[in-house]
Parts: sequence; structure tokens; C-alpha cells
Amino acid sequence: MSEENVKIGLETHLQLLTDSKLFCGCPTTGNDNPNTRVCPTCLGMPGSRPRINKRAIEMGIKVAAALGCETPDEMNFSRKTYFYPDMPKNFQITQFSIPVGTNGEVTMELDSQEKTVRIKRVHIEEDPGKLKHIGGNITSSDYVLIDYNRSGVPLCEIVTKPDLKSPEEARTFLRKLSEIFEYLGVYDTTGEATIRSDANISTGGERAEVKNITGFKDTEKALRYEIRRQVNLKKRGRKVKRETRGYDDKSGTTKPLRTKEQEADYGYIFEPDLTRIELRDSWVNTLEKEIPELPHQKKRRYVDEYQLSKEVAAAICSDFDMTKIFEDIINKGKNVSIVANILSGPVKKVLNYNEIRLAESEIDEQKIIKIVDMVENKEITDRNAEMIIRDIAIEDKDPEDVKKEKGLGAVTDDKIDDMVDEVLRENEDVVEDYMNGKGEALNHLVGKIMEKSRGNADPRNARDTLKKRIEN
Amino acid sequence: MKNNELERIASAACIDLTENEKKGLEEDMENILDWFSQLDKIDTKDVEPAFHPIDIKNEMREDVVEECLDNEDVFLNTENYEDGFFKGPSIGD
Amino acid sequence: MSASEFVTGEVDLEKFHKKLEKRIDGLVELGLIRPIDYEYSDKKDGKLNGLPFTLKDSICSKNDPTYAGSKILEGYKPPFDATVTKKIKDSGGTIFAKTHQDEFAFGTASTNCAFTTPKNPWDKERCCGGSSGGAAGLSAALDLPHINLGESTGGSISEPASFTGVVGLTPTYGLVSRYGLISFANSLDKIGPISRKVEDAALGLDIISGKDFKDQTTVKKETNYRKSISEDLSGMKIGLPTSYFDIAQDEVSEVVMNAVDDMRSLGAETEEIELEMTEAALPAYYIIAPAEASTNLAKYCGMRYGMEGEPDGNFRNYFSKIRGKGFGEEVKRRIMLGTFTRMAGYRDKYYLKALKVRKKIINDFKRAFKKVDVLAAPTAPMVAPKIEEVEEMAPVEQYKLDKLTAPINLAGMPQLSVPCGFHKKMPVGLHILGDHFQEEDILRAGHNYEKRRGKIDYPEA
Ligand SMILES: [Mg+2]
Ligand SMILES: [Zn+2]
Repeated sequence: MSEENVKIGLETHLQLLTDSKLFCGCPTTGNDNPNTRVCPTCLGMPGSRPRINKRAIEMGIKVAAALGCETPDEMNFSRKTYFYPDMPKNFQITQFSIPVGTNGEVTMELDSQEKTVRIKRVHIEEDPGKLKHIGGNITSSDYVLIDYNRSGVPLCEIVTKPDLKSPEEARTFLRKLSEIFEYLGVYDTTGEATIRSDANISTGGERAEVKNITGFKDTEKALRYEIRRQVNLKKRGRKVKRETRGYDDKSGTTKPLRTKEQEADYGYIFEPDLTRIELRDSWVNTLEKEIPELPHQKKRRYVDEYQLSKEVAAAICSDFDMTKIFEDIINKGKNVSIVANILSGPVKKVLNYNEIRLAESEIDEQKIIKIVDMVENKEITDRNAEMIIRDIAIEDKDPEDVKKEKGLGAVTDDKIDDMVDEVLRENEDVVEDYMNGKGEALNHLVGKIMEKSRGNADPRNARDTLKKRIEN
Repeated sequence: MKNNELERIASAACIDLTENEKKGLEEDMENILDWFSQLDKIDTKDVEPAFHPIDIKNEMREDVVEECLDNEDVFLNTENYEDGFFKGPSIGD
Repeated sequence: MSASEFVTGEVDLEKFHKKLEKRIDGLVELGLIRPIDYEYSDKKDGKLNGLPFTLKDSICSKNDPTYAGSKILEGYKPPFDATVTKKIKDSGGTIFAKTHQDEFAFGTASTNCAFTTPKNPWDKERCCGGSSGGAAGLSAALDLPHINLGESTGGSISEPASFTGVVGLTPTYGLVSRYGLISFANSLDKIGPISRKVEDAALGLDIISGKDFKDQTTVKKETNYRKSISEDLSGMKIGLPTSYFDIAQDEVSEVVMNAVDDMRSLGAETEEIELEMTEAALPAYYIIAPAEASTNLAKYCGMRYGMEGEPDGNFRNYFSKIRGKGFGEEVKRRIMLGTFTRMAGYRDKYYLKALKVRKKIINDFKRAFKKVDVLAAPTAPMVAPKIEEVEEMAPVEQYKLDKLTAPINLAGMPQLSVPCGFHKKMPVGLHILGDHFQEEDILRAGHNYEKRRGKIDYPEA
């Protein structure tokens, strides 16, 4: 979509990776039966009190610092009052007047160009419970069922300025954000943690707010729908209304919310059950020292220090656990380009295919080292490597065993020569096509050799040998 | 205070009021707000708001998991539950 | 026998329990208590020797009906003990009843109770004061050793104590945990003991005070209040806020002045004190307290606990219906008021302004306590009015019963009301105010005065 005047601002919520909830000791993960991880506080029972989790605050401070935000000397929490069945107290404890961070930025790469998205504010708040709509969809159900296990789970909200120009940019931004959170060790990309956004979208006229979009894909979809809706309105000579809309992931559309919810007056007051929090320099500095090298810094270093291509460096850096394995292995003196190619190539490909992160797979450092050694010693081809990785990603298997089991192993040059002989003999017509200038005919011949060798031949070697033999 | 102001507050407070109650409240609130206006005279320039009467700060809890509520206690005070979930009114009209 | 004597003395517990049992119906009849199922504590190591306690209806005790005086919570049984409740149980106290109060503590006369209106044992046509009216009335009516826990947001311990002729102690904000207290206004709420004698109030505070992991606004202070009260008054500097004596009815001020003379005769020195912010406190209080209260009360919506219906239809309609039905008149008024004063566009004018005024009030008191150890004044401007009279008052007139207690409550400073005489045959309260965490001073002043004053003949109830 290349609309000139598209402006998108996001308010994105990421779950902070604490053991206990933001204001009570209930665990954030574990028993998934509904309403089993709840207590008087996260159920909002009369007489209960919030007790703030120090670790969540520290994570917020780190996020703010990593996004280059200004940190206040002192901050506090507020009550944002609105009624909703998933909100036990009918107010949310969040940050209002003084959040943990303001005025930061995120730099990301778009079509190999750097782009900076300005961050308005970073704040910490509690998540509400989860609703199930019974007897219909969100707007037509008879009643709702509520699970408050999620109630009180700490969230970090990142609010951008309207710097994003397209749904694709928004998606890239969210990926970047989740990468940064992952590097900081404050976010679990593997669990059920989701990334949820509200988006402000304008296409030249008034802006509309679309609430409640979950995940990368849906953000792109919702934004695409909303932009199209606004553009179509204008085409028909109608104006975009300033309004709040909800995203319905089932239909992929946005719909206006009830006016009562649009006009909500949150009536913020200071949360009187919590104290103010002074962000003393010594505390903030200690936390800032714990901030690791961030994705864009690491990528730049990989390119400079290891002469990796930008693409290879980016692929490795998009998964924090992969960077750890990468650095560990090359510190053991292994061949940098082989390690980088295996990780950014076949490993990444297999993980993407299975839609998992490295940490969720069975792949570990020792297994990668074995594969690297096999490739380096020319025992297997790159293609073999991919076949092994496919097998060891989901099941805990030894690469050596897979290699044996599948009869994999690089073919010697003698054997290649023999196979080339055979293939040339059996495909005289294809050879002739090639001699007549049909370049792609050579691919066909290479394919034949790969077939004969059951994938064990090195395709590049096969291609070179074939070419030499035909052309001489 | 205008009549729709009262409606707006009642809506924000999520509370049904009878016509009689509205009438009474309108009068009461006008009197009370009028009484509040004496604060306008007090100079509070350069005065920090006192969120608490005493100076307390940086009270925080370590990130430690504690025991949750027994499941039977969770639903002890309601009949509106189903399959381990609380039951509530719908979002739509 | 006082509670303090009870816990240290040799008591035939069985006989004592029977005596108390016999009194319960009468206390219910006066509209003071709602008894709960209880067993006498047989904790041998407990300090309290089974001493009877009551809890204001807004203090949770596990599985006991706890309604905060509201229909919307009728039938509610908290699944946990408040910290003060736990402390009483752990110390071997026996909790035998909840005391009636104004709905969610919104009141100055306990005439806003959803269940019953407590009657003043001195004159059953008169109110007990509020909002801890049942608790105060109980101490006046019950001539057996006991301690009641009340709660004050803007004067709800001192004022009813004054109206019923008993001792009410409101501690410094943060000294006693609010965990398990059904909130009125969290930056103002304080739990404190009500009893017949100052020493008993000190004993109560010794039991319930202390830093609590479950309430992050509590403060660590190691003290022994009961021990500290016995020292004499020589050299104590008592400030007399002139504006307070002006506001109170002349006859009431006169009674209090006599008490001040008594303290002077015990060696205290007095000095007049100007408190500039006295008039501003009540409106500031009626902005801050409802603003916080209206958010606290948002949770009552017909889900999870309390009054409920069949949850059908849209949630806003359902919530509004239950809330319209479950809350009483004054609660609705304060919810509306509190919602308004924190709305965008009004927040600065009302809510934030009131918080700044509160700061000035704190400073006002801090200045006074640089000059004097404690302040002494009338607790309430008048004696307990008739229930009928209160019911005819306009809201602002009712609010004004808190005029002398609101400032010190906004400042979160400790206060002790001690009965000091009569007007129109109704008790008058001497209010002793102290700086933050100076409970020892006000208890010492109160205890010495009490000894000097002598016994009070409580009405046969
Ligand atoms: Mg948010
Ligand atoms: Zn919890």
C-alpha cells in the first residue's frame, strides 16, 4: 500500500516476564485452568490491596533506557476508571502523569534504509482478565465467561508518535520492539505472551483509533483494512469520522464501538494504595549497566567484525538465543562463515517453517557444532545439513545418528565424475539443448546428479564438473 | 450544572438514577460545588499536591510467587459462575 | 474491670463469657452490632486472654458476614482476614460481632446505615455519631472489658466517641495496616481502637499496629504504647487552636476548656495556636475522599460478590441497574460527586487543588507542632443531635459535624477523643491531636486527664 498521507501511531502492550503478577503474588504462568491463578487482589475483592512488584519496575526502567527515553526522578501509578467485565476493580492501575519513560526512539531497517520511530512514552500497567463470548460474537453474545488468570499480569505499553507510514512498517516496528524486549530479557517470545496494539490511523483527514489488535499479522491486516476503508470513504466524497473502532479478527474488519465506550472519561486519580517511586540515579545506573548489546548494535558489529552480510547478520540477530549460540561457537574457533550460514540459512528456515523460536526447538549448541564440523570436513553438503536440521529441530536426535540413518554423506570427487558420465550419457538431448544456448538445461542435469546421489552431492561441484565436461 | 452534565456523570459512574434522585442530586451537587468554590481563594501556587499525608516512597515487593486463593473461595460469594469461569453480562447491546 | 486489667488479671473466663452472652441481645436491639459465629479464643500463649473484640463492619474477617454497612455487600463473606483481624486472633482475642456503620463509612451520624441506625445509649432518640457509630455506642453500652476496632477517614472514630462518651484513638496514617479494610478513601482511612479507657485504646494499638507486607503504605515503628502513657504531664506543651473553640458551640467549648484547666493543673503548659487552614479542610476533604471513594466503589457491579442478578443484557445496563439498586442515597451522592471532581476538565480545579490544600493543612499543623507537643480542642462542635434532626439536615450541614476532625484527618495525624463532661446531659469530647507518629504524647495526655477526671457513670443499657 503506498498511500502518501498515511500516518500510524501505535500503543503496543507487551507482557513483562516476571514470575508473579504486577500487584500480587499470583504466578504469571502455570495452571491454565480458569481462575486458578487468582487471589483477592487480582480479583478486586473488597479490602484487598495492590503490592507493586519491584522486578516489573526494573524491567520498565530497562525498556525505557533501551529505547533512549528520558527517565523521571520520581514516578507514580494512577487509577484509570472505566467499567468492563474483564476488569475486577473497574479501574486499571496504570501510569498517567509521570510514566517510566518519555521521548525515546526505535531505529529499524526498512528496505535496507534506516528509519527512526519516535516513542512518546513507556509505561507499566496491569492486564485485565480474558473474556469468552457465549452464544454469539463479541457484539452479539448472550453473556460472557471470564477467566481472571491474566488479571494483574504486568504489561509494558509503548506509545509511538504517528511516524509509521504503512501497515508493513507497523509490522516491522512491532518485530523490532519484540526483539528489543527479548534482548533485554524482559519478554518471552516463546510462550503465549502476545503483543497487543491499539492503532491511530489517519489518511489525511481525521484519525480513527482501532482498538485491540493482537499479533504482528493481524496488526498489518487491521491497518490495511482501516486504510482501505478511509480511502474508500474519501473516494465516495465522505469524511472520515474521528472515532474509536474495534478490530474483529474473525472478519478482519474494524467496526465502530458504542458511543459510551468512545466517550469514556477515565477520571484519573493517583493510586493511593501505592507509594511514589523515586528513580534514584544509583538504581537506574545499575539497571542501565545490565542492558546488553541491543539488536541493531549487534547486527552492526557482526557486519563489521565478522564480515557477515547485512542479511545474514539480521537473520541471526532476530533471535536472541541464536546470537548466543553463534557467539559461543565462533569463540570456540569454528569457521565463522560456515556457522553463520548454517544458522541464518537452514536453521532459520526450519524454525520459520515450524513457526517456532530457537529456544522452543531441540536444537542446541552441541548439535550445531557437530553439523558445522561435518560441513567443514566435507562429510556432508549444505543440503544434507538442512535435512539433518529438519530432523533434529523438533525431536531430540543426534545429528550423527540422523546422518547415518539417512545415509547422508558428501560424495567424493571420483564418484561425482562417474555420475556425471552416466548423466551425460543418459540425457544426450538435454546436453544438446544446453549446447544450443539453453542455459537452464544445465539445472536439469544438476538435478539428475542430485537425484542419483540422494542429495549427497554438492550441487555446486556437480554443476562445475558438468560444465567442464560439456564445454571441453 | 446542566442536566446533561448529571447524565454524563451518572454514565461515567455507571449508575441508574430515578428522576427523583436526579432532581435531588442536581440540587445537592450544586450546593456542594458552590461550597467547594471557597477553595478558589486559597493560594496554592508552588504547592505540591499531598497524595499521602505522610512521606512514604519506594515500597516494593520482591518478585516472589505466593499462594493463590482456593478455588472454592473464588466462587464463594457468587452464583454466577460456569465451568470454572465467572459469568458476566455481555459486551454487545 | 478494664480491658487492660482483664488481659493481665485472673479472670473466671467461663463466667465472663456467660455475662457477655447475656448482653448481646440488648446490643443488637440498640442497633449497635451484628453478632457473628464465634468461639472464645483458647490461645493460652495469647496476650489477650480471650478479650472480646468487635470489628467495624468494613473490616474483613474470614467467612464472617462483612457488609461495610451496605446492601450491595449483603451476604458477603470475605475469604481472608484483615491484618488487624489476624493480629487479634493471633494474640488470643475473641471477635464476637461486627458493629454497624454508615454505608461505606459515608456519614457523620450513622444515619446512613443500610441495615439499622445505632441508637445512642445516653439518649435513644439521639445518634451515635458516625461513621463508626455502632462501635462507639457499644463501648458506651457495654460495661464489660472489650475493645472495638473502628475506622476513621475524616473523623469517624473521634466524632462518635465524643457523641457517646467513650475513648476513640485514630492513629497516624500508615501505622496500622489497612489490608482487609473495605476502603472508603485509601489515602485517608485509618483503623483505630474504641474503648472506655485510654489505656485500653493503647492496648488495642499495641496489638494492631506495625508494618505490614500486605499494605505498602504502612510504616515501621517499634513502640509500646501502653507503657508510654503513665508518665506525668509536667512540662507538656498543649496548644489551643482558637478557631476550633470558636467553631464549637459555646457550651461545648466551655466544657472542653475546663478539661484543659485540669491538664494545666497536672503540670501542662498551654498556649493559643492559630491554624489558618481550618475552614478549608472540610471542602478539601469532601473533594479528596469522594474522588477516591468513587473509584473504590466501582468494583461493586453485580459480579463476583455482593448483590447480583441474572447477568444478561449489556454490561453497562446490568452494572448500572445493580448499582442503582444496591447503593443508598448518600453513597450515590458521593459517587456522583467524586466522579465529577476527577473528570477531565475538572480534575485540576477540584481534585488536584484539594490535594494542594491538603499539603497546606499538613504544613499548618507541622508549624503548630514545632511550638507545642499536642493540641487540645473540642472533638465535635456540638453534642450528639437527635436522629430525626440529622435526617432533616442538608448534606453540607451533616458534613459540618466533621468540621473539627477533618483537618487532622487530612493531615493523617493521630488524635484521641476522651470524654470530658456533659452538655444537655450528653457527653462532650476532648480532642487531643498529635504530630505524625506521636501517639505516645496524645495517649499520655489523655490518660493523665482521664485519671484526674475520674469515673463516668455510663447509662444502664
Ligand atoms: Mg494501556
Ligand atoms: Zn493475585
